[in-house]
Amino acid sequence: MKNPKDRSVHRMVAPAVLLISLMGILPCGTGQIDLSTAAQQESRVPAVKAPEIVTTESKEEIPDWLARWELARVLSYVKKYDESVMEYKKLIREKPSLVEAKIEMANVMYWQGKMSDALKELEAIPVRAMTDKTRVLMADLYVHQKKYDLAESLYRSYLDKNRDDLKVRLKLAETLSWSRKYDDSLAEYEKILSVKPSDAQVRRKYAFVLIWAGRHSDAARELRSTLK
Amino acid sequence: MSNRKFWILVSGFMLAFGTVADGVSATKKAPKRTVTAGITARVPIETGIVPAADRISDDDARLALARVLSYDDSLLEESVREYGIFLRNRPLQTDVRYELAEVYVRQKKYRDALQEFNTVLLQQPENVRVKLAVGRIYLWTQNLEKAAFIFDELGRNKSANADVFLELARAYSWSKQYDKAIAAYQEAIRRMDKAGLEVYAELGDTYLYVAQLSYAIENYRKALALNPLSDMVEKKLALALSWAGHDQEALSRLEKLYARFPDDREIVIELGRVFVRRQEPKRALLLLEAMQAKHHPKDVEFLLAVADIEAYLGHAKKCRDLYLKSLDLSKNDKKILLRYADQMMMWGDFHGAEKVYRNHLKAQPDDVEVMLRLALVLLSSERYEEAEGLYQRLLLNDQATDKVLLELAKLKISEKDFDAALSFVDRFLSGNQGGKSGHLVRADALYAAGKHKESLEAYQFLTTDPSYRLIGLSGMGKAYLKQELPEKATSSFEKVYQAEPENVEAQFHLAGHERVKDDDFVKEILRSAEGKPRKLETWARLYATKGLNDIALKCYRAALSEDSQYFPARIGLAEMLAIDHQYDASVSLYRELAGEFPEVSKILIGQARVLGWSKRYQESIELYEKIHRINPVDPVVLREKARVAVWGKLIDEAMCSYGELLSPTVDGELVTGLATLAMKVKDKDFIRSYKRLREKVEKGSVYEGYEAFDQDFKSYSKSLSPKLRKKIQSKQVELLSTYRIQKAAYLEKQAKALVWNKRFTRAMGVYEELVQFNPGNEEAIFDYAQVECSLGLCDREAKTYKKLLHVDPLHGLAKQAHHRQEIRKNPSLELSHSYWKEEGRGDLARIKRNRSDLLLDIPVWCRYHLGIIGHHWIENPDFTGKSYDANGYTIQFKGVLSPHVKGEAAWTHKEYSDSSFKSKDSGFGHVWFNVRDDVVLGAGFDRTDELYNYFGLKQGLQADTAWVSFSSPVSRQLEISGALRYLDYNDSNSGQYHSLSAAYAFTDHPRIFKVILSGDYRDTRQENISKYDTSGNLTDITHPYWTPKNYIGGGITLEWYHDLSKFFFCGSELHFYDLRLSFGTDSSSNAAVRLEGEWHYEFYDHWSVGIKGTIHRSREWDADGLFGNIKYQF
Repeated sequence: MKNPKDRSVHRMVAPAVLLISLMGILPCGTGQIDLSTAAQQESRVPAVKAPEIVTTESKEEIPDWLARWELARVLSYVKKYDESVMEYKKLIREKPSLVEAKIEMANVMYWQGKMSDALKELEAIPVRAMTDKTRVLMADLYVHQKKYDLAESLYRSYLDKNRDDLKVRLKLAETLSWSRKYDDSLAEYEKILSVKPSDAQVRRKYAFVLIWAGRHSDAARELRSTLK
Repeated sequence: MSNRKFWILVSGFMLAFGTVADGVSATKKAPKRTVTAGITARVPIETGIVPAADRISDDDARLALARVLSYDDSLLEESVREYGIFLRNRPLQTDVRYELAEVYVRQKKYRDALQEFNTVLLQQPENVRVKLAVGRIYLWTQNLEKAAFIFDELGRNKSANADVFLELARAYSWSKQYDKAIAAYQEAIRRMDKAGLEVYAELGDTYLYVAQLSYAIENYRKALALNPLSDMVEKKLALALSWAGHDQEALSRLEKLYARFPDDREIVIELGRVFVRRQEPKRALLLLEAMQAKHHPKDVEFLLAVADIEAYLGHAKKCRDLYLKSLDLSKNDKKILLRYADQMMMWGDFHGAEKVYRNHLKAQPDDVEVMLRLALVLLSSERYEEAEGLYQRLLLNDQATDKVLLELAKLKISEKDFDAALSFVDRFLSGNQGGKSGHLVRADALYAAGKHKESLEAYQFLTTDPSYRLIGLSGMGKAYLKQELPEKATSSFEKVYQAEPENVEAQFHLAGHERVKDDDFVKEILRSAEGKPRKLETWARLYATKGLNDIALKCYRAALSEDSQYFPARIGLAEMLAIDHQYDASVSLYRELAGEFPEVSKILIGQARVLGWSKRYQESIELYEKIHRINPVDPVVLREKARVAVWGKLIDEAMCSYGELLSPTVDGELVTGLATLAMKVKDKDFIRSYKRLREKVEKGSVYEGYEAFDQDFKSYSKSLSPKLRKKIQSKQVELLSTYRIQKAAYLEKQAKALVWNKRFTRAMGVYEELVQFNPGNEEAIFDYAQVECSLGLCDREAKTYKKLLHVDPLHGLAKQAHHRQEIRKNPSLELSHSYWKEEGRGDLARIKRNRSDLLLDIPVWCRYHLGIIGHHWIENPDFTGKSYDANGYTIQFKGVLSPHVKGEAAWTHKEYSDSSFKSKDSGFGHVWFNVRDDVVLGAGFDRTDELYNYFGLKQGLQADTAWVSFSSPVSRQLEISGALRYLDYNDSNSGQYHSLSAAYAFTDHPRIFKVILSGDYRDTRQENISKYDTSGNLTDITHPYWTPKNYIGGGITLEWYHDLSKFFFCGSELHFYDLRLSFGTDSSSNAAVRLEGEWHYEFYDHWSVGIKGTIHRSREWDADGLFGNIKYQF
């Protein structure tokens, strides 16, 4: 019996996994964040809350940079991501301190599938300037890049403040499982299941982690409990 | 077969699984983090926290459950159930069906697995993986032919992977098609980047099965190089090294393995065997017996291993006892029984082994291996016909054809039918050019057939193969010796000796024929072989082949003093003593052996033979009868019993024994066997030949019908359907051994009966047919030579002895008889003297005659003799009281022209010292014709001196006699003879003398009591007339000899002949005495009594002396005669 954690095996197969992941053959659970499908994108439009239009004087003309910001947003709503990003970049060149615009651009890049670019943008923003949700987004991007430890840290810091956010806890549980921290992952799953014991989907995912952890009989029990 | 499964985990995903399939494929699969391909997930409707796209469908969950359950062997049934539910929903999910099939395989539910695999194949007919799996199931379920077919088909694809060839190799190996298996293994290895240990080990195993130990070892070494720590491979290598005789390395490896695994039975046993071969048998037994006592007191396999070592040591009794104990412990395990039968061969319990094999074949008639072993037993017990019958049956059914052809060739060599042996071996070689074993048999057959030049080439060819080099060199040496090229022979034997300094045969031949007889040499070999009974026994056998019986006996005794239980030396000594004519000692040893090994055929038959040779015929026959009761189907026993009965003059018993062999007749059996076919089949040719066969049977044929049917069948068999042809051939083959046994027995019986009744020339034809049919029939060849000897065909006799000695160089009687014949064909010098005195019939018979002869006999082509005799006569008639000397010479010629015609002629010239007597010439010419042995007709002309008194001497009286005779051996006991003689005296007188006699022998050779009735008629034209002077003194006699008129005489003779010769064969050194007492009377009432005696003694090969005397008394005529001779044959 080979050690399931055989590193050499891992090395051999990893490129294949990546390829498969990128091809979308493994649509769930390979670390993509949950906004990658069109349907999801649709449900999130507008994904970024519309900024309040700041005016100095109501009768004053809207400054160009503000109009550009609005244009960038609108373009993102109609899925013209390239043009949107271009407008965001012009805006940020003009207003480099506009952190909120940077976060919005990162989101657009994310929708574009340009995860690295999105992450690069977010990493340029001081953490203290980030909202909780931005942190979750950043964690998701780390997951996509298989930087599970960084993602775990961000999820955990979010969950410290938002203990009841089961969706993010699920993300943490999954991230832990992918980094082979099965016991920690299982502990997170158990927390979720203690709140939602009848959630068969969570239980099935939990069962899968049990399998990977070698707890086959527990896994079988859990799986059986989700089936009629 | 083990299942080895491993998982592939990638960054927390159970992505796939892999298997290394060396048997059952793994079925463990981890759940993939994917929706099952091609399925749109039926996502449960709920409002959970898991995003829709990430949700796991029921089917995926069930598949994961099925898989996770399959991880646990105890939950396979549940796994199958879950797979089943899944597949009901998704029946086209072939990959999952494949998984289910694999679970079935793990459950060993091969039928279910096969059903699932076949379902997959319906959808994916070209799925190689599934075909491979199906093939494997066939392989594991021993459906080897189907398995091989599938793998072979897969292997035709150029891109077929190594696994296909590996499985194909296994299918072939398991179905014992080792050559194909080896080729498949090699192809598998060629297609592998790097073959694994198991592959090389399996290839090594396959080479082992075909006894190619060097290749087996090579592959085990490769396997071991891949993993030097593999105990399994190291053990295989060590065992193979041991079996190949590489004792040094085997010992080293086995000792290391033994240190690690002291309780491993195979290692201990093989280590013991190596010790034995290194002449350390005690160490071996110590090791094994200690192990047995400590760990395996009732372990049958261990007992058997010890038994086999005892067998190797030649300890037949211990071996047998251990086997019996093992059988007892195992409750007569069939495999052990078969092994026991194999070992029985060592101490010659052929009947016991035969019984075991036949019982086994009753249950498993198609067990070719056991059939071959049975054939070997039959061959070893000289039952060649039956062995050939089995082999021919296998050939007809195309079973183990190559092996059978080779075994048939060996059988024919043993049977001394060398031409047939060469024919079989050539058939073998036509399909196996590279088969060195075939070339070896061919070389041996050529050598045995006396084709020494060709055998030399054949042996030389063998030396090109390292495995056969030494045996080839040894054969070359022997062939060179036969060609009288001693230097080349020495060179060959030297090479053998250099490679194997312990090789006894090489040492023997290198020493040379003279030196091996040297006392010092013998002492040295006895000293150097101390503690090595096997080696001493080998020396003994070699000395025996050269007829050096004394030294052979010494070697056997030395072997027994080293190990008194060494069976080969015990039975070898008994045989050797018999060969050396020490019959009592031999019988005593055989009895001792028979006490320890009751009912063992080799011992009992050996003893019976020695009893026969030592003329203890009745005991011998009784023993043969006992053996016959033990195994009534053994034809050798009946045949030998019949022969001994003939030797013992128990002709009725002999004929009865031959008769047993002839019933029921093979012709009758063939008629019965073909009867059903004859009723069903309409083929005209077959029906015609069948009717002919039946007619022959009705006329009482024994084997002639079988032969005629076979002849007919060959002419039309090609026109028959293959099925019918095979049916007929099967019946013929089934009866082949009976045919061969019966034809040989019938001819031998007929020939023996003819010889018994003194029909020698007719016997010759039968013997010729018998020897042609059965070239190894030594009894027939010897008998034939004896018939030739009896008929005086001395030159032909020599050829026959040579033929026999070629067939069996150790044939003791043939050696002796040939030696005697060699002497007989040399010139001889004989000195003889005869004295004759007669008185009576008035003055007619009044003389004393002395005659001394010196004969130089010069044989020409052995059967013709030219004799030159110098004579000196002293004749002393009463009338003058003076002695008259004469000298003369004779030139004579005699010979046997053919078995039917012989003749002789001589001319004698006699010159008296006294010139008043005329010189005289006399002589004779005789010829005899043998008419079918029923009667021998003779005719002749004699001119003889008629010297009974002074007047005959003075008148130079001679008579010319023309005669015809007949002699008829009516039976062995009764002989009638007669002659008509017409005499013409040179004194113008003539007469007739006719005789008739009948002799009946009441007892047989060597003590013959015979009564002879004889009668004769004589008549002379003119009676004698005595002339007297005036004083009444006799002055002359006209017709001075007895001139009976119408004389009739009759008499009875009682004869006692006692042959005291050491050996009773024609040409042996003769030693006998013969006494004849006759009473008679005649028409003149002249009652007479005559006593004759003769003693003849041949000695020291070249010398003979003889003496004869006669005393005749009657009222009218008295006579005394004495004859003595001494002869030296160069």
